[in-house]
Amino acid sequence: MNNNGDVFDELEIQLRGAVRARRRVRPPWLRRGHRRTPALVLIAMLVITAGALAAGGVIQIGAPAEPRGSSESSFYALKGGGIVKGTVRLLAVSTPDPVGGPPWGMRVLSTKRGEGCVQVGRLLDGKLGALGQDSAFHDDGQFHEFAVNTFGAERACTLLDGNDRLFLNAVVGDIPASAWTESYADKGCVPSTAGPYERFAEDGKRKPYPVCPQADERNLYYGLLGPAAKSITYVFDGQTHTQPTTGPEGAYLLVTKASPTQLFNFNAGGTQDVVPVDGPITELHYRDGATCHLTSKSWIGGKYACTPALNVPVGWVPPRTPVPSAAQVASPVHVRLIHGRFGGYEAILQFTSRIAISKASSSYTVQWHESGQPPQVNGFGPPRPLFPAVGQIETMRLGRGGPGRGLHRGTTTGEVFFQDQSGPGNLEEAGGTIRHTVGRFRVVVP
Amino acid sequence: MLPSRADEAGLLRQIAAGDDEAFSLFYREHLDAVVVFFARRVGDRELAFDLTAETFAAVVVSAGTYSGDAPAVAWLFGIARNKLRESLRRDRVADAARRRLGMEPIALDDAALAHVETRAGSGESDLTRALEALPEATRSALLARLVEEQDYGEIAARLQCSEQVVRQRVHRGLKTLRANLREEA
Repeated sequence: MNNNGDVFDELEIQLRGAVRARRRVRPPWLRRGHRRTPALVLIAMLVITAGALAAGGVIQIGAPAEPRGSSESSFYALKGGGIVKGTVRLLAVSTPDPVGGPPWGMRVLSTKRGEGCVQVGRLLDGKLGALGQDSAFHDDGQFHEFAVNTFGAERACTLLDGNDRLFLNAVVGDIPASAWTESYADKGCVPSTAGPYERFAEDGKRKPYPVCPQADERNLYYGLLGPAAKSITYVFDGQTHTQPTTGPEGAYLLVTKASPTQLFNFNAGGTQDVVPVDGPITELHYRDGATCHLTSKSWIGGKYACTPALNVPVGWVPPRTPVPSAAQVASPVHVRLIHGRFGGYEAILQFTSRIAISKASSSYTVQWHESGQPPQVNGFGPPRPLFPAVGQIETMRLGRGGPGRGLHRGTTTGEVFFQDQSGPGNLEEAGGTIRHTVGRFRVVVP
Repeated sequence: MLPSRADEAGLLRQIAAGDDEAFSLFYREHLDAVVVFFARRVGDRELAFDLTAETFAAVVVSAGTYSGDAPAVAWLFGIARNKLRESLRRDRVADAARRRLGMEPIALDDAALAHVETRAGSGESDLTRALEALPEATRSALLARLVEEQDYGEIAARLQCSEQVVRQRVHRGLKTLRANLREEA
């Protein structure tokens, strides 16, 4: 049957026939126009609700915005080891929203794994929170203060420096004006750039989350430049502005409307770096008179971060925690094969951790090479435990799920590494990254 | 050149209205990408064909549900991922959409499998080459986010880095891809 033609041509012929046949059987209620109406009505209602909110001028205080048991809510507890008591502070930053309503603000906190985090949200009466709009909190129009363990509208964390100060610059696009992105399970709209997975609409069986009106999407540019910073210069709509940074943290926060055609968005993410890149900021001014001119190559970091050269943020001090040597982390790696869930084999690696891992910036990682295949990095899921004590057995899995997706037949060789990123900005390219071999392994997959 | 979102929304509306020419355009535009998507994940030509057939059958069945809010390609790959996930869960490829359309099973002989192999290899496009040229860490983050549509937390856990690093890799990967593809054009 397929000897003469491409099997995909045959499939196309069958599918085209099916399309033609459906021309005759489509029920009238599926015709164009019918299905769009409820969405249009919903959008109109949203616009009316938002308008009424703004016109009213008084915002009531609603229930606190709590995380809802998602992986996000457990972030500080699991990866961060918990929030250090007394470190949650609202910064004296207040940035107007480009459309109106309460201004935007920032809050900082520290985790027990040595990281500092920034949360961004709307400000009301000295509190940081989200607004009941854009489908969040049933559009109740009220202000919902963020619980400390929420993400806020946006959350960024990085390793604290040697003086426990936070240096961080972040750009994020397509954030709803409600400032609520913690959990879509608790409603709230998703940007139009979200895929079916985020819209919960991939199979058409469930009601998808609503899409945010473009007018209610914002871009956030925020950061902490440290105590030496004095001001930033940025360009909006061709106009150059200079504004002082706030407090000993050297904080700043810019908020703009999002564009439907911008490159960074919900899908493409934003950036976090040692200097503010990929945004409207063009210069950083310091108290000693120095100026960092950001270049198009600033994102590379290191010597490219600024003109003149600025290898690390001004005032940043290397972490004081000693980094273990190669000899201190070395440990024999044992490997065994198990039958994978979908057939084939997976490899289980085990070794004794000779050191305690307590910082979020340190981890074990693995690189392996299956016969005839390109090198692979990282295992199947993170190593367990993520933060081992001295002498604890560490376990990693190699292999992938899916039919025929176990390890390939033949010899698999690899190496387990200890990795520590202690440079500024939490980025490998920012420097300060060390990698020591823990041990090597080899296994023959039948 | 890729059709615009408005063009693709129009195509899907036409498909929903029973226009088989419109389906043909959509099918030819995305066929290679879908075959490559499955071939690389299941590593089995027969299975890859079966999943491709079921995915496009689902396009025919559900073209009328496409809202136009997201790019059509994202919608299509949402269906593809769902079919893949379903097949992994049940250990077989569902054929509900094809049965609903009354389609005949297509038998795959060696020549047919060779066609699947060729299609799977046709993914060596400019885009594939540009992707291959990216650093491993950037490519992994980009594919996990844009093709597999995992959330940032999930990717960060898998790649053992912070979510912000993942975001940055995705963003930079896109910038590099865009620049490299422009250079090649």
